[in-house]
Amino acid sequence: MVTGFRQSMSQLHTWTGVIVGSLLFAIFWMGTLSVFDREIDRWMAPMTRFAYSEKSVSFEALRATYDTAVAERAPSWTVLLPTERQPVIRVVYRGASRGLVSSYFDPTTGAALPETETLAGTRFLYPFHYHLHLKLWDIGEWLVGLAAMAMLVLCVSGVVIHRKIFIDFFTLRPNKQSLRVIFDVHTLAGVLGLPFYIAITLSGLIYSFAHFYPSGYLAVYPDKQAFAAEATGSYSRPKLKQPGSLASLDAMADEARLRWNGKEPWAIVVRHPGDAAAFVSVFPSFDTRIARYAPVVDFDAATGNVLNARDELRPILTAQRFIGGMHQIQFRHWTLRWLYYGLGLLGCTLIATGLLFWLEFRRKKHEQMGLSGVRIVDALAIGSTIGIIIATLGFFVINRLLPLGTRFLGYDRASLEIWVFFLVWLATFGHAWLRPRWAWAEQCRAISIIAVTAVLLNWITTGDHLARSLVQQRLWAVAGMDLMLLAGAAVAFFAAYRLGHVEERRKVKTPALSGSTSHG
Amino acid sequence: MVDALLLLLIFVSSYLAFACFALAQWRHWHAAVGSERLPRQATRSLRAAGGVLLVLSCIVAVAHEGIDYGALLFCTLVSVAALSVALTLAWYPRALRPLVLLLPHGGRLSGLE
Repeated sequence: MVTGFRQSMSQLHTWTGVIVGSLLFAIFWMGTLSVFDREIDRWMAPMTRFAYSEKSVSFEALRATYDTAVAERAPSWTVLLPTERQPVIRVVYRGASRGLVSSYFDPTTGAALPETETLAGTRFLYPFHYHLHLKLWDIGEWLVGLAAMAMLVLCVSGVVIHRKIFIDFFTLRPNKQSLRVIFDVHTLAGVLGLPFYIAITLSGLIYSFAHFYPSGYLAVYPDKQAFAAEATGSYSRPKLKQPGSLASLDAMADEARLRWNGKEPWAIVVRHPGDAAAFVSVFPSFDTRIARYAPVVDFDAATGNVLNARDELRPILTAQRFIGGMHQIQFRHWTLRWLYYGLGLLGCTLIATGLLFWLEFRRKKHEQMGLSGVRIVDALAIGSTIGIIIATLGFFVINRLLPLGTRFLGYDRASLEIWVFFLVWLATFGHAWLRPRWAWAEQCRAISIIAVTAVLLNWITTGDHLARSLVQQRLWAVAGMDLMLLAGAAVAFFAAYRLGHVEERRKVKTPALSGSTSHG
Repeated sequence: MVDALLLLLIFVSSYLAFACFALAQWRHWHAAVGSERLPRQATRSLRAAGGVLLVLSCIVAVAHEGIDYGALLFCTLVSVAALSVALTLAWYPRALRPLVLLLPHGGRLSGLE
């Protein structure tokens, strides 16, 4: 029976949390890892572990890949010069026969690096965060949008039902009974991280506004392209379907540098490669400010004449890009990057303890009533929290185990890694279902073992152990990843110990409970 | 080097700000200082000191990093600072006792004199 506002908010908080908690954990976990997606790339693709230098070969050195893109009838061809976080040159195009091609080049010689054969952080973990690897009808993106709205509901209702928000502001009592500790951690993580959760959730929604609320622009513009063209002022022209040539890319880059008072060009995008209407857009790096946007100069591909130049966006779009940039954290700021990572993990803790609290609370009730439904929810909760962490670690381990060029059942190495991710994830649900009592502690133990294995495998397969990676600046991304794996292993080991302890106590109590019911 | 020191200053001042706010509550005062009595005067001074320190932290962040990065840095760092205070109170509340000495009559209040 619902009585009063606070009571109804409490029910809303509980049931929203139970229904979307699992989904939210997956989104928060992958989002947190995405903060360091390029560092994860370095770890998973050892051939790209280069030292960063601002001097690199010119755009012109990559013309051979342009010719391939023309032959593959790619709609566009992109070159990204090295950055501190991605110290290699990257060329991207979508080929008619090969799908999306993303290849890396040595920054000093321009020589092609071996295929990475992994989607790693930027192409698997990061997209998982916003479309859950469910691309059919954009289901994944819509689910993430719904979960984000639910997160906002959870944040607001959580504040309403918190009875003593200021009195309990700093309260954590590690020596109390386990249910109390779980609740303390949940409220503490919730209250202290609240500004971050609201900001990150809302900014994620605002960033994707065009996807979730298309009626806004469809009321005025015929389609998304027309809207984007006017909103961003970006240059475009249709294909002529006649062959065309490409003038010197370096000359265009020089011209752009001159217009930007010496700011270095960083990216080149050629649209309609090989066509007479092909045009080249040159951008400087946009990692110097929060708003994710950069000036652009567009050139005619055949003549190299300037077609269009844009310096500033309209104010409303600058605001949208600022909010989007705040979410995507593509700017260069290591302190903020670590803070986002820490607060992201705090968010994961918030969601996991919320689920765990509800479960422990329910378990008592259900055991008294002799119901078995809790077992299903238990398995779902374990699989979707600890399970996805184990699956991610499995993804790292299999990346180090499979040699380059592996094919199995028609799948290439990159797909096999993803298969392993999903199979391991599925297995954690199965394990949680089969051993409901022990799964929390056992899966935590599994995390510590697999994480240490990943560190060891990185050492064995690449030779870049911590003593080496910590002293060489080019390997700091690898060192950071190894250290995080070891820290995660330690935390999981401690958690397994604590959870095992709880189980021991519960085991002592349970026979007495079942004994009393059978007699009664 | 200067960057690191200023970052440390931003963090330490917001940590101390939240430590002051926490000590202004009887439960944490009792845990940190060991005294049963929290005078009204001490609560007021602690809250005022906390407020000043938090503003200081914000000003340093914005002055050093600019309004955009500074605001973002301040908003995220305060969460971490408050969390650190909560963890300090959970495992070693006595660590906050020296703070009380900075109050007027702090020595007498904390029983160190």
